[in-house]
Amino acid sequence: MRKVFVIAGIVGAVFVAALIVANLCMFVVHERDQVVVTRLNKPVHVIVGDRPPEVFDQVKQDILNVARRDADSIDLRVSMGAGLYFKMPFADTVERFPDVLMTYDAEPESVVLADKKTLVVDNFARWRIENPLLFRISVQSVTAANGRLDDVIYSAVREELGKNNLTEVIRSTNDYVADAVPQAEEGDPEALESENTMRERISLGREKIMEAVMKRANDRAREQFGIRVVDVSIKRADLLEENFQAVYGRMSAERSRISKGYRSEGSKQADIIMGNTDLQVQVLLANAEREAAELRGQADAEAIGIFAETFNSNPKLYTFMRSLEVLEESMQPGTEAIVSADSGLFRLLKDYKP
Amino acid sequence: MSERKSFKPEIIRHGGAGGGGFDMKKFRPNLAKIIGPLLLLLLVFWLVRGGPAYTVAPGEEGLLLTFGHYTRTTGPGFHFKLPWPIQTVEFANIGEVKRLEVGFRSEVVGESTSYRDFQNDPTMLSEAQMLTGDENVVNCSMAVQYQVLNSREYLFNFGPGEVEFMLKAVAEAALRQAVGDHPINDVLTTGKFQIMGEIKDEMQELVDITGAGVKIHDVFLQDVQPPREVAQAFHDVASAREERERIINEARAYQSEQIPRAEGEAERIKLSAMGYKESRVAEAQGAVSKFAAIMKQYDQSPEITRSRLYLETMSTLLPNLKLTIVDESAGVMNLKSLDMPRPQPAQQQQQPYAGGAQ
Repeated sequence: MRKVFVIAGIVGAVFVAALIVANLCMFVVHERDQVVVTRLNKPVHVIVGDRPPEVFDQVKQDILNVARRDADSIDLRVSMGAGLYFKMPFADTVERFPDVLMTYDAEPESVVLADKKTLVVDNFARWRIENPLLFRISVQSVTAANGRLDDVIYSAVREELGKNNLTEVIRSTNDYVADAVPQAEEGDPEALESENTMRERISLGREKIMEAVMKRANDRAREQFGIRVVDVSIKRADLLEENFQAVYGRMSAERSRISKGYRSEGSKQADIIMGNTDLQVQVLLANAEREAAELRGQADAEAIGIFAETFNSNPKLYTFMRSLEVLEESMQPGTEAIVSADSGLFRLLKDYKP
Repeated sequence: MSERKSFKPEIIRHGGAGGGGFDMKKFRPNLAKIIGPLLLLLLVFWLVRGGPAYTVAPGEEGLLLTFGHYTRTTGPGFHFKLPWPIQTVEFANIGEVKRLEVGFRSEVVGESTSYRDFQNDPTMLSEAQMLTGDENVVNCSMAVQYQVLNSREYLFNFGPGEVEFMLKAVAEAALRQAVGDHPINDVLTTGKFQIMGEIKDEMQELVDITGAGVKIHDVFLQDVQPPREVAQAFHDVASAREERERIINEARAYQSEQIPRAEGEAERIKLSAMGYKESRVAEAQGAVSKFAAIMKQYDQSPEITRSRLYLETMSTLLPNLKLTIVDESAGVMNLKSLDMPRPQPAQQQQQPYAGGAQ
């Protein structure tokens, strides 16, 4: 039992010694890290994160330039990638910097645009440390970097946005412009309302403006802080609180115009439908009357034809029969009449000649 | 035995308790008592955290690093590795579809979910409020579903939790950019589907330039509303639209009432004219055949027929008349009998031969 502990103790001591030696002579660079090794405060080794070869060559050159700027003679190694690296015990200090993308969310700032409208812009930037040595010298920590970036990005945002109108900042494409026109021509009151502003063409748009902001910010940040600004985007762009009231007023006015448009459109359509209905009704009835008159005419003509054919064969008889009928019809029961005793069959009353 | 050797460094790291054989005689009984459980505990800890093996949960990927350098990706299950500090492993959940909320927050308490959104929370309002392409203001809330696609990019291009923070900002930026390209009507009504597609594409693009290894699956616009201050005006537009439909429908109702009625009326007029025609012809034919029959007799004996016709008529006519017969040759007139009421005006009478009389 005792022997076991002795062996264990010896093995342990060897292990500890090995770890201590390893810790003094070697260090691990994680995938998420970049490292600057300084020997008695003089940079001797820079290990950057994985980069494409051409980018690495450029970065290496930049790092060497920074080192040359600060010292006459340099003895600096630049490596790339994570892994196990050696250092000189006691003399070398390993300083780690993140090799990840960082998101910097700025405080909202008000920016005056070219058309004198004020916009409260909340933007964010994504950046990474490209030149750890320059970053180590000029910035030192990520927290400090956010402050520097604030200055750089905000001034770039202010400059680029100040050259553009509100429409340019809000919209990114002219895609909708083509759509707006045919809809409006169909007479949709809502499309008509938005047509005016949507028809305005933009020359740049938000995406291009922000690209310019990014380039401007990146140029400065790279040169001054060894930071690469990957992208600057507008998270929020709002109007000032007092401007909102004006916008709400305008929106209400627009909507009430649209409402009125709908209502009068409705009564217009209704009037058209009702007018057409009345017209159709009149046409229907008039046509029917015309056809009826035609039919009656035909009937009369036909009847006349029938009569004429037969009665012409004996006009005398016809006249006689018709006279009798007229007589019969005109003499209603109870009609009083004064007749001469010399007429017709009354002659028999006076003078009978068998 | 071999196990004990390998966990020795752990012991030393945690306070150097295994200080070799120094003063063994004095501490030996105590050491045995303390070290036994301690070793066991450390063994367990080492096995779990840094030992020679690890397991990857379903839906996860384990990324093996040798001295901080990426070596390989391992799938779910049991895997061997070199012990700490040589190899370490980091995990990324690639199976889970994660969710991100803009302009609202859902909080699950027990079985019910409560929402904080732009209607009841000012901070959500500032997140949801945005300008449209025609410079109107609209409030939008949105949910985004995404998934880790490339665990290596996800783990090594961003610090822990940084991807989520970045995605939140990107989602807001993409939402505002897409809404800023459309007029308010599109955002509120017909354009939602297209806008969601645009947001999704824009988000993916913004994510890809940083190599976050994330795929945006879906973007859902949740609640899209005009600001409360102008809501009334928007509702009025909706009711005006309804009213337009109502007025038009009323007119259509009038149309569908009037047209058939007029069609019926027209048909009636035509039919009555047809009836007139039929009866007119039939009457004419009737009269004609009667006349033809009489004419036949007349042709045989004209005098008799004439007399008979005359006398027949008289025999029906005379009994109904109040006759005053005057003998002109007598030269006497009974004036009293002339004192009689004015004759009644002749009544409208049917004339079957009216046409024939023309």
